[in-house]
Amino acid sequence: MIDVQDLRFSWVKKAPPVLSVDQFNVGKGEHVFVQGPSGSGKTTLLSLLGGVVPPTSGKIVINDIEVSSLTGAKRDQFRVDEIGFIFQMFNLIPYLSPVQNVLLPCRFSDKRRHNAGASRSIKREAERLLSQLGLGAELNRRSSGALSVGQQQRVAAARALIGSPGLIIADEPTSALDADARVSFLQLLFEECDRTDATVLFVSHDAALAGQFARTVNLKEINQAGVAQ
Amino acid sequence: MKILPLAWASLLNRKFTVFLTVIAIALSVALLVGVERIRSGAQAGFNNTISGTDLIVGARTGQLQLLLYSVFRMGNATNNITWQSYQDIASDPTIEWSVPMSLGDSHRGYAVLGTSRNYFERFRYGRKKPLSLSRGAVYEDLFEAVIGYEVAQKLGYELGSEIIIAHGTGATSFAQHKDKPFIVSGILERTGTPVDRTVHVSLEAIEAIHVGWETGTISKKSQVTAEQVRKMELEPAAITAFLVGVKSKLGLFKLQRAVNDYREEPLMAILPGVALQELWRMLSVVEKALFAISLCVVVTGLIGMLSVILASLNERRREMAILRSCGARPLHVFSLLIGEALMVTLGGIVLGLALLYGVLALVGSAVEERFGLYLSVAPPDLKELGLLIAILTAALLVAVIPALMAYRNSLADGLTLRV
Repeated sequence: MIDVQDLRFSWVKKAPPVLSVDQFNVGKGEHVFVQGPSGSGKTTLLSLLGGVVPPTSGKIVINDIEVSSLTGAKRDQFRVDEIGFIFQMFNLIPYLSPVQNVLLPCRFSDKRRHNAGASRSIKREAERLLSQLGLGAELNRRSSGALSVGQQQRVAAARALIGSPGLIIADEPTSALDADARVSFLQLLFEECDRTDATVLFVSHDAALAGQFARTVNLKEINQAGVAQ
Repeated sequence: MKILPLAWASLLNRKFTVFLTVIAIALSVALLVGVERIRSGAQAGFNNTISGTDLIVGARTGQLQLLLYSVFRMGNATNNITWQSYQDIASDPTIEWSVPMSLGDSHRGYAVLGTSRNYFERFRYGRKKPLSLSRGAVYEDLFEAVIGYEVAQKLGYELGSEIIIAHGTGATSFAQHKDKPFIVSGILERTGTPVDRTVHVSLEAIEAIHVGWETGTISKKSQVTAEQVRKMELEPAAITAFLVGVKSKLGLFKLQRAVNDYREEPLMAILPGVALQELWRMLSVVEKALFAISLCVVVTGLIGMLSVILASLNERRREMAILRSCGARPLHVFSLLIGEALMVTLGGIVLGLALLYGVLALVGSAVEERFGLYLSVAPPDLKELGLLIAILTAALLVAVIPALMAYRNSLADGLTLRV
């Protein structure tokens, strides 16, 4: 699913790389926990995988697509077609309803819209995902900003999952939740990911969550560049 | 199409600020189009004051001065034309008709015009519309008067009302022709021209009230009663100006030159259309100033919109990053902001026009009544549509500034969510 080779990246030209990964592979359907303290290059790695920034050198292949060689607009399209993102907090567009938030990727990706609408209408699929993640239909009448942090994160998860992208990238999505909510959030997320056989790349500094994952990778070990002391 | 619904939802989310911005733009649009309406109304009304007259002849003076006192009843003639010269010129074979005019007296601020009865047949205004009486008839008797629409309205005169003419112009005159009152014999229809503000009497009447006033004031000794005057020979010695209609336009310039070169006394003949245009060019400075002011108001409205969008930009960086993570391209972010500006401006234009038409419908007839200014409630004409399109274009150009900033932010920020 993810195949990274000889990746080098620096934000400023000719500066020593902040990220240097010789080899990093994730198989299809794997749930991988990437652990590392702040400043270890987690966000940079996610930006590279998501095609937000191109690598200085090296190769990134995701789902048989060579991301590192895509041009700007194609990278934007690749990102929405193949990846669902969940961020730390404030994940939702405040002026859209929860369901509209969930449907956002379908607005920009024909592939995701097609996948989501395969069995029924995409709106019903959004509602199914929300209820699967424990959010009832009554939430729909509320504005996204009025939801609790835990509810917002579940809406964000539904948005990442809709249209069954092959890869779910989660960047500290549970850091704003309490311990109980963290575990139940992860369980719901995994349940849905397993249904579509999606790969999960979960990034966090919180080693306590590692137990939930089959595989844990310490970023400091794969990143040879000694970054941001 | 992906983006406009988002832009709409985003605006709805900020109803209050957006509404205020829309109002600001609406007011500026209403003002700009309103000023344009007033301008076109004023110009049309202005050019309609006299038509069908080929030449206006008066004592030699400036072209504008002659136009002002003979047509607009403003100011005074510097000199008169002798009756002799008038008859001499009026007998020219190329002249089809001529109407003598004698000005200089007034009634409660309204000009008194002494003229012959064919004035009511020959005078044309607007699109060669003739004067018509709403009530009564043209004066028959020496001491009868025909009054304009506004004179009747403002002073509450009816047929048979008694009028005392004051010597000289001005609303309050101490020298009045009290001994020779006039009776209203006819009231004219509204014309929207200075005719509405004029009291018309016969040329002989002007002579009659001035018998004994040769020194400029009245003395007991020289006073003559109305009855005595009726028996007198009342051929005027002089008139102020006269209107001319020619048989063929071909002879017009030759006749004009002949009048200007008249040897017996210094006279001048003007073409009313040319003089009106010159006068309008002078007045249009005011109109241009008004237009410039309303343009400034439009600019203010657009700057208001720009500052509202700019102020929201920083707090929306996170929103843009979320959109980017869901596949929105930087170009989408750009068009989101342009789309918002477009909707706000369109809303402003629609609301502004609604406001303007509301006001026009409400006060239009009152303005026409009071100022003789006709403001049409018609849909925007080509020039006004041009103005609206210009506003829209300016708004889009203005919106490029925040849109470019958001575009560059979203390129730089990527998916990094800054709180």
